[in-house]
Amino acid sequence: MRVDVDTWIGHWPFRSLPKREARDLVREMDRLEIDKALVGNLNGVLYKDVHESNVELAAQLRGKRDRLVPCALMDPNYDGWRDDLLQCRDELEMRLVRLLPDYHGYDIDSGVAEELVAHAHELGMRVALVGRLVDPRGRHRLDPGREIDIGKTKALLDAFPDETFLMLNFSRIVDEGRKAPCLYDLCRFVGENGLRMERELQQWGASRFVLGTTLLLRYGSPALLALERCPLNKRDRQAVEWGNVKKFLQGVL
Amino acid sequence: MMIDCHGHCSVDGSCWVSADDLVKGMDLYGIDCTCCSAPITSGEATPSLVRDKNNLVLASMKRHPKRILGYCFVNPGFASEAIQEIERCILGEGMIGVKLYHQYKIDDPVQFPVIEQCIEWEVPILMHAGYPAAPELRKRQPNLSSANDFAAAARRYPEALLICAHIGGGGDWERQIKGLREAPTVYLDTGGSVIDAGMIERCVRELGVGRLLFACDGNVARGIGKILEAKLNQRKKGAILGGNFEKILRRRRT
Repeated sequence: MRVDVDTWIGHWPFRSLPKREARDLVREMDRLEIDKALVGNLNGVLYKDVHESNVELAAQLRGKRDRLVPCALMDPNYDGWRDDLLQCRDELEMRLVRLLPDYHGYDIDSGVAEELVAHAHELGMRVALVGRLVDPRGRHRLDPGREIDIGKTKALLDAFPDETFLMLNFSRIVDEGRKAPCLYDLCRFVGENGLRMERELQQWGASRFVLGTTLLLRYGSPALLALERCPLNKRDRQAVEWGNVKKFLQGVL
Repeated sequence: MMIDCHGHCSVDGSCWVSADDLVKGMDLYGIDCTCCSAPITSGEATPSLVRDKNNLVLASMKRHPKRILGYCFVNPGFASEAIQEIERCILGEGMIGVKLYHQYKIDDPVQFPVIEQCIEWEVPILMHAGYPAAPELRKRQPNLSSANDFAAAARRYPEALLICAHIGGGGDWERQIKGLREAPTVYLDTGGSVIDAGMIERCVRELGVGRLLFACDGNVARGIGKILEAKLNQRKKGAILGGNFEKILRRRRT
């Protein structure tokens, strides 16, 4: 069993993607032997009314829910977002919300971010912080997305000491000593000529990591190749590939 | 044969990874050999510092012969010392080419003696390159060579074996590819941490498989993974992973 916590479908406004549809993602997952994936809709990155992308996502995933788990996007500066979040949970059956602060016009350490996270938790939803979608060094001049200032995530995390967050595309662990440690996609830690992943695992333990590829924005093979070559015993490998995220999502998978 | 044409190491790990860790990573992923340098990336690259760095690579080559090949890093701003260092490292010690960083752009006249020397010996020049999309990032490396700079250098020296470094090095890689269409003699290394879907297929489509050289630049899983995943047949993948660079190595007259 393999669960990919970081996949996307939809249109990326700043570059032509080879594949964009839910059926493409499923084909990629089949090829890479990924059983299930948490998926967001890139269309919601720049929609004024972000929630429309959630409705689209639910429609695209119809008939594919056994493989694809939808993740909501939400703009806490946009009128009506509380109702939208409720609709995500109750009608669209979404149990996780991804935060994209740069694209939706707020800071990760701001009051609106905290309010969104608090509301999601009240609804029993899980929260993922997206460290970055693409490498900001190559971003389009109109693309506001930068790497989240890692230091600024501390205020938000500290406000919710009992909640585990999914940390996507973060380049280092930022929640040392937390009561509820966060989960990081292991394959972001691939430098040092292939040896960094091993070092991070030794330092933090396998319980802190999950598998994330960033399909369909990126190639999926590098993450899986890194994971395959990583020296993990069977139990730890299972934890990284699906066990940790299954526990995090509490019955969704 | 898998040849990583863009790596960095020092024998003791004092800069970049240690030679032993480099080879450990190579073994983990099945890389036969890695072509390494130890460039000075900030501060003044004086001749004595340059020599020290090259000595760390030379010692790495001696520690892991045939697994680690070396590029001689030079600062062409010190013209005579640069040529002397190239002679020492390539003729005397068996390095396979020259590594240039962002001290000057590739088409700056200060580079011409180095390029001409490399043409004479038919050895490759691996040049740090990129086009950071954000202006603030371009300001940090004002002499970073873009594809346009390579095109200018290649027009002057079409016989030079110029390698434009790391298409995935963190910049506007699409722009780099488009620019390199105007520099048909320039090779492109596939290294860097960026693994955007479709990148390698786009390189092949725009530039042709014969101009692409496999590289990791320290990101081994990403370096190999994006080649393995690219929609190319095995012959093309083989050419990128090693065949093209083997041909370059065979051309050397040193």
